[in-house]
Amino acid sequence: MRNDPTHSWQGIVWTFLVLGIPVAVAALLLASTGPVLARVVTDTLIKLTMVVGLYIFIGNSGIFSFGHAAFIVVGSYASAWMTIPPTFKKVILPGLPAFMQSIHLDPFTGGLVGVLLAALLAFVIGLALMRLAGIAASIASFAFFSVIVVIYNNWTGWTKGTASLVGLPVYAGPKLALAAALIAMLLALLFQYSRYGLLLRATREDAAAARAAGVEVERMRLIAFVVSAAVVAAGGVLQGHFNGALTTTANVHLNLTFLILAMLVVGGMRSLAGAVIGVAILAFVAELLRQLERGWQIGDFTITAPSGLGQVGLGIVMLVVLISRPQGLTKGREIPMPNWLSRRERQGDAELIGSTQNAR
Amino acid sequence: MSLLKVRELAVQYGAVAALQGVSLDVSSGEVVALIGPNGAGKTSLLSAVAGVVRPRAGTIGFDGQDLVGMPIQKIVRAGIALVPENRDIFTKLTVIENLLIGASTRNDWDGIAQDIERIGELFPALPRLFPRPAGLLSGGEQQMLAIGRALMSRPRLLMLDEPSLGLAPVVTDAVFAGIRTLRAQGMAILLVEQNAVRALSVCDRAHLLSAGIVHFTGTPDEIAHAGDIDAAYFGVPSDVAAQGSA
Amino acid sequence: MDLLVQFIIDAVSVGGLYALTAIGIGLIFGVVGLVNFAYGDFVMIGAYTILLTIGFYWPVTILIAAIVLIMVALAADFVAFRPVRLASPETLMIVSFALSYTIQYSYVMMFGSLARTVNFLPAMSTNLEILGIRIAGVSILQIVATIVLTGALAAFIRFTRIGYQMRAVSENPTMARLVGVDINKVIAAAFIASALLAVTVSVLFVAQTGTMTPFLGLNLTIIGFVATVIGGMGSLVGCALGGFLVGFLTTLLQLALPADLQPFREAFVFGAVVLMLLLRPGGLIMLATARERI
Ligand SMILES: Nc1ncnc2c1ncn2[C@@H]1O[C@H](COP(=O)(O)OP(=O)(O)OP(=O)(O)O)[C@@H](O)[C@H]1O
Ligand SMILES: [Mg+2]
Repeated sequence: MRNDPTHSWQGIVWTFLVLGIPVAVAALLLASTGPVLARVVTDTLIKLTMVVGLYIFIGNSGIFSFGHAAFIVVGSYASAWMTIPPTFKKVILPGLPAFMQSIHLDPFTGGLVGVLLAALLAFVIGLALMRLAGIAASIASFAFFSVIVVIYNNWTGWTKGTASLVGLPVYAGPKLALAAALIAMLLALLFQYSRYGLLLRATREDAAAARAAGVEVERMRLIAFVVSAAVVAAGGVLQGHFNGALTTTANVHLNLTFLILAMLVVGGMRSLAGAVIGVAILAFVAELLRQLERGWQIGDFTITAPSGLGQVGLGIVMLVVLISRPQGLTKGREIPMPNWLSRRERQGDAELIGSTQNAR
Repeated sequence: MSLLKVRELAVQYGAVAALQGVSLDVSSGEVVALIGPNGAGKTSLLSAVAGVVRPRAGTIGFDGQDLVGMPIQKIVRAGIALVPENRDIFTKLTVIENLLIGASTRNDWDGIAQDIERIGELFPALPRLFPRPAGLLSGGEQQMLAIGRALMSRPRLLMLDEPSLGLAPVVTDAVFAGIRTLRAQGMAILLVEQNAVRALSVCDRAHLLSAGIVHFTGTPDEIAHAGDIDAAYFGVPSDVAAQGSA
Repeated sequence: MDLLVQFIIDAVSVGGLYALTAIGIGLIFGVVGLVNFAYGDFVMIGAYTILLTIGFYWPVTILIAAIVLIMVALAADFVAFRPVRLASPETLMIVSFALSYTIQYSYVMMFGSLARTVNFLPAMSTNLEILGIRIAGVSILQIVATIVLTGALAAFIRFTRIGYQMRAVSENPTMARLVGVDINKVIAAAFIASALLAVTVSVLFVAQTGTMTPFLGLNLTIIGFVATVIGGMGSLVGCALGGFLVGFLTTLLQLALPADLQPFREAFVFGAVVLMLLLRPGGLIMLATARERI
């Protein structure tokens, strides 16, 4: 691997700091300017948590998953069931069985239940999905996502279906979201540096060879899948307790799938730097387009872009990046460590840098 | 007047330098052999000429045109056909479809029909196999089919990559009989072979390639009397190795 | 007995629609190695084109829709897929995902996301009485269209020059280029064929349901994927069979599931696929092809 700092523990620390500090500083500064930006910041940090979670699976295994939003659905609804006050639950979800109506957990435990439930689901589904090769796995993950959405859409007694489920305690703010995003990033780096991460990355380049060398490809993928589902679900839980409401209407989760995949792909799905940069750029673009859709005051006129513009804009950004730079803006590289930090690491890699694409 | 003119060709795969400044010519009606050990860069040379691999440096001229950077299909139209090392016949197509697809650049159906007949004469084993899926053919039959398919584009230069690979001697005889006939008809051929004796028996001139460098050029007679072949086959002289990593 | 015949007719007509969708997706996958998320959106574009040109004599409407879809498919190939042709199948797939999203929301921008209704080919919604069994005209149209189009496509691939070139490109694109096949032309032909399949699905879909939203393609895409996974993306016959199988399953569930479980029908169908993959992960043709292509 050319010049990858995440192969040493110093590099892990370096990568965490060089990405984490700007994220933290920018988030805290922007959030302190007022409630409007604080909301945008919180939302973006929650997306960052989800994207980093997605990166743990896609970046390490090389398999695209179109199914991770299912874990957001499962995690956020479970946390809602656990934390909405019983008196309110009786009114809003009369179809819920009695024992569910009486449960009332604190936000942390409730969120944990959501995350664990998603992880459990990932484990069970992963047993099947992880046996599949690249594209087949992607298609199956999409089918899985559809199953979950159909179920939650129609399971009205528990989810209120396409109507909104409200009454979630609202506790997620910029600081909590920042903590979640930083923890997710650290987890991603540690996973990448662990034996599992290294082995899984080896299978990404050549699954057959890795298999022949005795690597249990399916097991490695499954571990990554479960960890990644848990992180993504944690983002989902926060999202629920940030908005205070959940819904499955109008493709929200498909749009979310698109957004987090786009963020990862635009930045470069093979590095944590890519995940972070992708989130930053697309969050900015999305916010800009959202302003346009809301209306743009020029003198006495308000120009309002038709709804849908935001999504079209994101789609086009993603297409342009994919076509001009299929590896993403970072080309799958981390931020390089300065030489004085990494003298030992770099030798021998030098002549390979940049030359690997020549063959085609 | 030379048809194919390769000058100072260099091909690089990542850190591996497969060819490092190779020059060679093939004139009309001439059969030129390229012999050398495994990994010498023979396939890389043919791939570069066919446009599959983009050279790092050097020029490839064909009949006055510059082939470097030209799309593969245009190179075929210019008159170059490649029979690749592993034959790569289309196993799911029938034998006759394999021949027809070789004529993808042509629309003269009468001529195409005639050429199919001619190929049947060149390799008498083929015609009765025409309706069969090509994947069911034996190795020798596949090699004949691959040559036939290449001829269907009416090339002016035919490039053969190790036609004897994995074939029994009797079958190799049949393949080489075909090559001799083509030579007699005046086809220019660039022949890559590891079986030096076979190659020298059909060629006008031969180049000895090893570690990406041409070590010797000459007629079959000259090569047979030079001692260099052993050196090229069994070990690379140290001065060459030093040059190679530069 | 009548019930059984009725069931078979329903299943075959629904299955036919799915089979056409699956073939359209499978054809492009076979030739280009692209899992096309935007395929259902081609169908959606066809439906809206019918909506906009409903005033014309119906064959003209269909013709315009066909032309529009062919141009859309070729443009998609040229703008989005050709630049990444040498990239991994995953990259191709994600490009088509982005394209699908962009198309859907462009239509939201133009037409809003509310459902539009249109009464196309009203004659087709009348029921025919054949030997005591009532059959919807659309069902007959669906069955006939499936048979005719599948047959025509099979013949095209079997007997024409572009047909064997397509098979060659599918097997070994580099070698195909080395024998002088114009790979862009062959791929364009595949896109045209898939556009013609898509416009057929549009016509049948609009004639049957009469309503459309910019998101109508989504479900079709998923069903098409599922059918191709079941049937094996390597072979068009497999795709067709997969489509029919999904059709049978859907119709069967419609008949067998109690009313309160009806809304979950799709979940059962997609779940069946995940289950099937669990039971026979290596037994599907699709998997072999996917490995080869990587
Ligand atoms: N696609 C590739 N990527 C990386 N290295 C390659 C590639 N193709 C060839 N090489 C390397 O280039 C060198 C020359 O290979 P080439 O296939 O041209 O040799 P050759 O003379 O045809 O050998 P053989 O007689 O075994 O067919 C070898 O060291 C080989 O490992
Ligand atoms: Mg070779």
